[in-house]
Amino acid sequence: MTAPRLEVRSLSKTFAGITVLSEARLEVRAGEVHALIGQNGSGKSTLIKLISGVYRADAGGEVFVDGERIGTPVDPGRLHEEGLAFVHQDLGLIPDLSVSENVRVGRHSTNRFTGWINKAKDAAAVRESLEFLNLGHIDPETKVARLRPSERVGVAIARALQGRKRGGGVIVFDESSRAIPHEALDDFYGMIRLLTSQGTAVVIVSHNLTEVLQIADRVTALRNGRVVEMGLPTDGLDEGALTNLVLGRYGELDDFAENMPSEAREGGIELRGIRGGRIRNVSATIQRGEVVGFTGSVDSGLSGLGALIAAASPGMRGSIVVDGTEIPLESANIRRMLRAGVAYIPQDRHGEGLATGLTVQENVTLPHLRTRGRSWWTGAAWQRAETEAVLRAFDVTPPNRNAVIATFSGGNQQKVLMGKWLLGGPAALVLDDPTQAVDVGARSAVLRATRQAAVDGAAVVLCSSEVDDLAAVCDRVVVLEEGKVLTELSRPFTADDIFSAIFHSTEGADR
Amino acid sequence: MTTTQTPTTTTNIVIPPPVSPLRRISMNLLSRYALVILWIIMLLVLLALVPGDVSPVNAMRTVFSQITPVVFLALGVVITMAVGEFDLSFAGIFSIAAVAVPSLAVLHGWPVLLAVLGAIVIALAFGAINAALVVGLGINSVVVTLGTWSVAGGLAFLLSGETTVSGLDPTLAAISTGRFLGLPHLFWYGVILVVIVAYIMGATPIGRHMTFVGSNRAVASLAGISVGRVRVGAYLASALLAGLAGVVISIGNGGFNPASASAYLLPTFAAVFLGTVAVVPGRFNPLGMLIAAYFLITGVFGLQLLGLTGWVTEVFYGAALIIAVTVSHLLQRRVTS
Repeated sequence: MTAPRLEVRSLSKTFAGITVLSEARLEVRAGEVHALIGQNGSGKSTLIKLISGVYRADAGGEVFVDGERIGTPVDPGRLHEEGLAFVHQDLGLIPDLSVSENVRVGRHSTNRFTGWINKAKDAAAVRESLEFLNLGHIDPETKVARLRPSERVGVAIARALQGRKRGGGVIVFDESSRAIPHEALDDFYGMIRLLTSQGTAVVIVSHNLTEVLQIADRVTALRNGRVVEMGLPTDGLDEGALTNLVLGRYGELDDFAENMPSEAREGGIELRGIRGGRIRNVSATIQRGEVVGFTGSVDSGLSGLGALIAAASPGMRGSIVVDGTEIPLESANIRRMLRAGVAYIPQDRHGEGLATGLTVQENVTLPHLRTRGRSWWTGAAWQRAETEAVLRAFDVTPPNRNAVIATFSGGNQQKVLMGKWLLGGPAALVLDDPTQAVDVGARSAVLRATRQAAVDGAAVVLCSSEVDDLAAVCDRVVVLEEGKVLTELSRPFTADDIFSAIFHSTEGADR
Repeated sequence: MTTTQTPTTTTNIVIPPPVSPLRRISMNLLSRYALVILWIIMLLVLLALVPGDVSPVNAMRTVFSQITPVVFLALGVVITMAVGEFDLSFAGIFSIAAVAVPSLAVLHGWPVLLAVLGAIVIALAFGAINAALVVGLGINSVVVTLGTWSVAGGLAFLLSGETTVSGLDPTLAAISTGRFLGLPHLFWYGVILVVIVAYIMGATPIGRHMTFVGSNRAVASLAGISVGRVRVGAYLASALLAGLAGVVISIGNGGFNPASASAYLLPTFAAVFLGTVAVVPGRFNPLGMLIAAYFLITGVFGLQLLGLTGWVTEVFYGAALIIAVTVSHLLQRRVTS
């Protein structure tokens, strides 16, 4: 019995007291395609980052390659010698450099005396790798920008193969297929099969369950920071079984929409053919008192929708009607939308939501300084009252209004951020992935607050890729694809229904 | 990608045991005004070391009577740094404004009032150039303001004919050097400006907006603050203060030698950064800057009393700048982690 090509034992990672990955194990055999699946936040990217040494694992974990212990701690500088190669989401290629430079970066052959790069030797090594991948027609001196997508994938793989003996090592593709257009996917899969037929092990991290079924031999599923199934053969599995593995049955989220009924009222916001960024045409009506979810796969344009409704992205078209007043987006700006009553809670809490070096009070009261304070005196009493109200309503710990935001946990920061925007009683509340990187307790609090905003009369737009969140709070869910509305679901629906609506469609709907 | 360093989440929040109010207030005061205490200690040590009989009151009076533009210049830097901008050009703008007053008045025969206005207009023009390039076109602020510093400083030499221009009516000098409560008007101007800016930054919505623009532009912009206007305003305010400094200094001295301008660069930065350890610890603030400025002037004055001049001044300011930045960095880390 030979040792597995790659073996991981009890790998854990804790960020400041929050365990994001607990006792993970993984066993990848030579010559197999092994898929890692799991939702956002399930811990799969953490696992990859631990193996690649980007993060330092907690004490106790072990990583072996061919039975030889390489960590922890894993030294990222030695990964290549150990036989591990990582191909990242965006392939990590520099378009302005030549194929040869991209492939050999960090491993240039140099003249022993001058230290200059030995171009001839580099080119020969590159040509050999490309020929192996049946891409012998690519000239190593061509700029990567001029290659076809499938050729670029080959270049990224060729880089991973440098200095490697045939059939050895492990290549990890971290969501690589996202960066690859549909027409190039078959070539990509072909190259993976070529690699494994020689004995190299391949790990793919993927959201795309169809892809997993198509090329993986075995899968490992993660959920909530734990490995729930390791090395399950894909033979005899279907998408439904994989979906169950990924979602599990937690039932830990209450059905807020059921328990907190809210009636749709007059007013709210209407999106009229809005366009901008990757959103190509979205129309929808969200009445006051309603929570409407928007979701979609990674390339659906979902990530830009919230900012677009808040008029915070460039090149906007279409118009938005807020409580009967039409605002053309061409001439709109953030301030115009704010005045109309649209509160936008961005996804990037640290980058756009809160100034983390400033205090809770300063952050919470920022949007209301002009309306509640005088231009020559901000006023103190209202700031204090307002901040105390947020701390109480959201049960923020510690309830200290003069504490600096950075000292709070992610969940408490999210509570402060929501409080900041809910205070003004907005006409519409636009949330962008509000439960990202918050713990279960805070997640519940955030979702309850989302629902409460609708009960209190706001029109709530929840942009999220977390199907459980959507199922728990939404009255309706709009599924986007390629920047357009694909379908709309109305209650009753389950997380599974939403999940299938998103993913079956993107992969050519075999059901 | 951003979670690799400085995870900002903490779950094991330790609620500090209750502290008696008296102790809390005194700790608070200590952390805010430690610099003042240090200042007094430094003064006493210096006086003990200096031979002869110098009373502390006289020494303080001498310190406050320095005819220096540092407070004005540093106030401008505090404003630009607070909104997250970097302005090196103040020394050049100060220089050209200070040269413009005597040059226009004496060499070109303009009325003094008009010459003063001309100097201010020149200063604001350079501020506008900074703003247009940095805010409008998005060019690196260090590069732009380093350039305008050199251009303005160079043009100051051109305007003055490469010499000290003097010959302003000596009776006008009283505007700057006349005394009130035993201290020169210049000192009081500085205090008044500092108090005004401190009030704006600390107690008005504009000040809070400045803080947010400096802390996180995206957050500010999503809250409806016109980030661009705040940044432009900061560059103009900084240029205006540098221009005013030039005016009061050249009137006070009856003229100005443009070669002396660059000597103010380091004391100004040292005062600004040292100021972040006082009054509002961890933030650029005018009152802290005022205390820090006179703290530094006292230090140099003491060194002079000990008979050390020349190189010592530069070493002192340089060391003070580095120490100030280090302490302020450590302070910031303690506040946010």
